Amino acid sequence: MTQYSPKSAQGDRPASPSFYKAARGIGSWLYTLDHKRIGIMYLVFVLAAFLLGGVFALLVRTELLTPGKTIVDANTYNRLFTLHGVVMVFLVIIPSIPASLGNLILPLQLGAKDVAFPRLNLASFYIYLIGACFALYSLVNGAVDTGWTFYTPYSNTTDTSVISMVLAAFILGFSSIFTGLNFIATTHSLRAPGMTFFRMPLFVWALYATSVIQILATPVLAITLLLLLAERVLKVGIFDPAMGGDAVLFQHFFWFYSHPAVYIMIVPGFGVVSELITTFSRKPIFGYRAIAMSSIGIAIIGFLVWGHHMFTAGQSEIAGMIFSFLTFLVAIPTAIKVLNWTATMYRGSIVLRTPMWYAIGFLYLFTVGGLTGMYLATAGTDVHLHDTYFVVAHFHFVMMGGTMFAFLGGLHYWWPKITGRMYNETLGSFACLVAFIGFNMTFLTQFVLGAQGMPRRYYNYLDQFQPLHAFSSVGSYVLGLGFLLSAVCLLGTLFKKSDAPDNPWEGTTLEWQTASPPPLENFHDQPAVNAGPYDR
Amino acid sequence: MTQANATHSSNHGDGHGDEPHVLPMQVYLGVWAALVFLTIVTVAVSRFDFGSANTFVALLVATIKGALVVLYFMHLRYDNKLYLIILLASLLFVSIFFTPTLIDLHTRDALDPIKGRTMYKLSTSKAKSQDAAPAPAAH
Amino acid sequence: MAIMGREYHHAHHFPSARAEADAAKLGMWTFLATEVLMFSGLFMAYTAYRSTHAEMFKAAHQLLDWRLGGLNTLVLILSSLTMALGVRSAQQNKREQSAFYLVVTLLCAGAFLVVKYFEYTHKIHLGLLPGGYYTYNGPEFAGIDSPHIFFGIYFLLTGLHGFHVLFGMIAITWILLRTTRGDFSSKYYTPVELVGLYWHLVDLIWIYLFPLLYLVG
Repeated sequence: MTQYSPKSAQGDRPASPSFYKAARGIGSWLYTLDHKRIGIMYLVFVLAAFLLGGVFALLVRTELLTPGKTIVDANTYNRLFTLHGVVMVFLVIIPSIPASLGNLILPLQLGAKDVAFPRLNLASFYIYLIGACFALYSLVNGAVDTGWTFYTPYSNTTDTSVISMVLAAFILGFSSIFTGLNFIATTHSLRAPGMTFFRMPLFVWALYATSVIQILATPVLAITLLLLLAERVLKVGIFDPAMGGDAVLFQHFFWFYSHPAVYIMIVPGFGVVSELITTFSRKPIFGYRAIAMSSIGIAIIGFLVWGHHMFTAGQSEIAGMIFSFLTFLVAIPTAIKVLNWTATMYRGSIVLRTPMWYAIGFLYLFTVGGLTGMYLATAGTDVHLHDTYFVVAHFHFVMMGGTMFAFLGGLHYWWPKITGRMYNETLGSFACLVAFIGFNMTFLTQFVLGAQGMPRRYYNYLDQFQPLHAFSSVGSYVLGLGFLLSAVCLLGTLFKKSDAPDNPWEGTTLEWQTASPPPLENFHDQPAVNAGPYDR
Repeated sequence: MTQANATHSSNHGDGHGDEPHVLPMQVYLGVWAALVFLTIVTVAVSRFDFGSANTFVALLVATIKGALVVLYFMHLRYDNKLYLIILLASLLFVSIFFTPTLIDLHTRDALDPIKGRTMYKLSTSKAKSQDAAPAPAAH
Repeated sequence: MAIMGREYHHAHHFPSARAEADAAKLGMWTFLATEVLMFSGLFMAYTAYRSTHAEMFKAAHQLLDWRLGGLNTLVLILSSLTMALGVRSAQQNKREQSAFYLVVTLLCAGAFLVVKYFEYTHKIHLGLLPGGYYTYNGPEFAGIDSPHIFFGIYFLLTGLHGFHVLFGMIAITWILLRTTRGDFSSKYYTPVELVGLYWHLVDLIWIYLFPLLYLVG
C-alpha cells in the first residue's frame, strides 16, 4: 500500500459526509448524476430481475420433476424457459457486473470523481428501465415462446408478443452501448495522475475489454433485431426461406453479437476474480500484464468464433471447420488467466473470507464450464451434444458458475465499501457453500443427461431420465436456498449501524483509500499513483 | 465537496488549451470540389464494364471520397490518432463479420453438392437453378 | 454544465476544459464506430444477396433513378461542406457566419429528404415494396429470382439512413439555437464539432449507398 501520495493528510480536516448523506429525498436519486447512486439503482433492478429470472428457472425445474405435465402445460413451459433466458441474459447478466459494480467501482479504482459523461450514465440507466418495461409488457401480454435467440422463421410466425420483447432487447442494447462508451472515455480521460494503463487495476482492464466488445458487437444486435421486426412487419424475406431468404443468415447476424455477448458477461467476472484472488492471497497478482492482455485477447478472439453455434444448423462444413479451429484459440487467453490466478494463490497467505470462497468456487466452476466448451467446439462431438442438456450445463457453468459467482463475490467484497456495513462472515460463507453444492447438484447432473441424449427445451422426456431430472430439480432448490441465504446475509446489514472500516480486506487499490461509504466526490484529495495496483 | 484539487482552478478558462486548429478555406473548398468531381467519376465508371472488377472500382472511388471526408471534413488528419484507430477498428470488425458469413454462404455445397443443393436456398445460383425454387408467394 | 452565459466552465470532474473536450470527442468517435457496425448489418444483407443474386440486382437496380441518387449525393456533399465551414466559423468566433452555414446545412438536409420522398412515392406507386407488399409485375423481371429482396434491402438501407438524416436535422437545429443564443466561442465549440462529426458520417454512408444501390455494375 505504498503507491499513493495524497497531497495532504486526510486527518487535518473534518470528514465529508458520505454520498448517501450528501443529498436527500427521492429526487436526489431520480436526477442524480453520481456514478455511485446510479450504480446502486442498477444493482437494485438487476437483483430484482435476478429474482424474477430465478423464479422462472425454479418453475421450469419444477415442471421437469416428472415427465409430462407437472405444474404447467407445454405452451406455458415454452414461455417460461424463454422468459428465463431473456430476463437472465438481457436484464441480469449483461448489466450485472459492468453497470452495477462497474459503475460503483470503476471511477473509484481510477481515482476519478465520476465517469466521463454522468448525464449519459443516468440516461443509460433510464434506457435500461424503459427496456425492462417493454420486457414486462411482453411478459403480461402473452410472453414469448421462441427461446431467447428469436430464431427465424419461427419468430416471424408465432403469435406470441415477439415485437415488444424484441424492442425490449433492442432498447436494452442501447443502454449497454452507452455504458461501454462511457467506460471507455472514462478510462482514457480520467485516470488519476501517475496511473498509466499498466497501473490500472485488473477490474478496470476487464471492464475496458468488455466495453470494447459492447461497442463493437451490440450495434449488430440492434440491426439484427430491427431486421427481425422488418421481417415480421414488412415480410422483407431476407431470413425467410419461403420468401427466397436464408434462415441461417439470421443465425450469423444473431451470433455475431451473441457470442461476443457471452464475453460481455464473463470478462467482467474475470476482473472481479483477479481483484479477489490477489487481495485475499495478500500477494501481488502473478502475471499482471498477461492477465490484462488476455482480457483484450479474449475480446478480439471472441468475435471470430460465433459459427460454433451453428455446426448442425445448416452452415457449410468448411465454415464449420474454420470456426471450430478458431474456437479452440479462446482457450489460450482463458487458460492464461486461470493459471495466473492459481499461481497467485500459490504460497500466498490466503485469507478465507466470503468473497474468497466465491472466487475459489468460481475457479472450479468456470474451469469445468470452460473445458466442457472444448467438447462443444469440436465440430464432430458437437453433432452429438448440440441442443442437449450438455450445452445447457456448459453455459450455466460459465454464465452462472462463472459470472454470477464472480458477481456475488464482488458484491460481498465491495459491500462494506458501498454500504459501510460488514455482514456476518459465517452466514456469508455458509450461503456460498450451499449455493455451490446446489449448483453442482443441478448442473453436473445435466452433463450426464445431455451426454445420454436428453434434448434441451423439451417439455416431455423418457422415463429413464426421470431420476436425474428430479435430482437436478432438487439441486435447483438448494441453489435457490443458497442465494436466499446470501440475500438475508447482505440485506440484513441494512438494518444495523454503519460499522465498516475503510479497508476491511487490506486491499491495495484506490477504492480502499477512501471512506466507506465514499464521500460525494469519492476522495478528499485527488489521489496520485506511483506504483502498480497490487504492490504491497 | 472537495476543493483540494490544485489543478482544478489553475486550468480554468484555458479553453481547448491552445487555439483551435483552423484549416484554411481553400482546403474545404478544394475537398468539396474533389468530392463533386469524384461523384461524376462514380457515375462515369459505372458506364464502363471492368468485368468482375466493377464493384471493386465503384467501392474504390467511394473509399477515396470517404477518405477525403474523414481526413479533412472530420479533421482526422490533424486530430488525435486514437480516433483513427477507433474508426479502423470498426472497419476491421465489419470485415470480421463479413468474411466468415460469406465463406459459409458460398461453400455450402462445396463438400456435399447434393445436400448443398437440396437444403439451402442461398447457396449458389448454380445450385438454385437446379433446385427450381418455388416463386415467393407475393411475386 | 448549464451554459447560459458567455463564458463556459467545464464540468468539475475533469481536470481541464481540454480534457473534457477530448473525452467528448473520444465518446463521439466511439459512437460513430457503433454506427458503422450497425449499418454493417444491412450492408451484410446487401452483400449476401448481391453475391448470390447478381442478375437480380442488376435488373432491379434499373428501376431506381440514378439521376435522383446522384443529385442527392451532391446535396449531401454540399451539406457536409457547409457543416465543416460552420464548425470552422465557430472556431473563429464568427457566430453569425456559423449560424448561416448551419442553416444552409439544414436546408440541404431538407432537400435530401424531399428528393427521397419523391423517390419513395414513385416506388410505392409501382408496388416496388419490401417482400410482403411487393406487387410489381413488369416485364423487366421475367425469369428473375426474388426481386422483392432487393427492394426490401433498398428500403431498409435508405430508410435507416433517412432516419439518421432526420435525427441529424434535429441535432443541427439544437446547435443552431445554441449558436444564436451565444453559447459557443473559440474556447468552447465541442457540441458543434460533435454534431459535425455525426453529420459527416451520415454523408459518408450515403457516399457508399449511392454506387451500391443506384449504379450496380
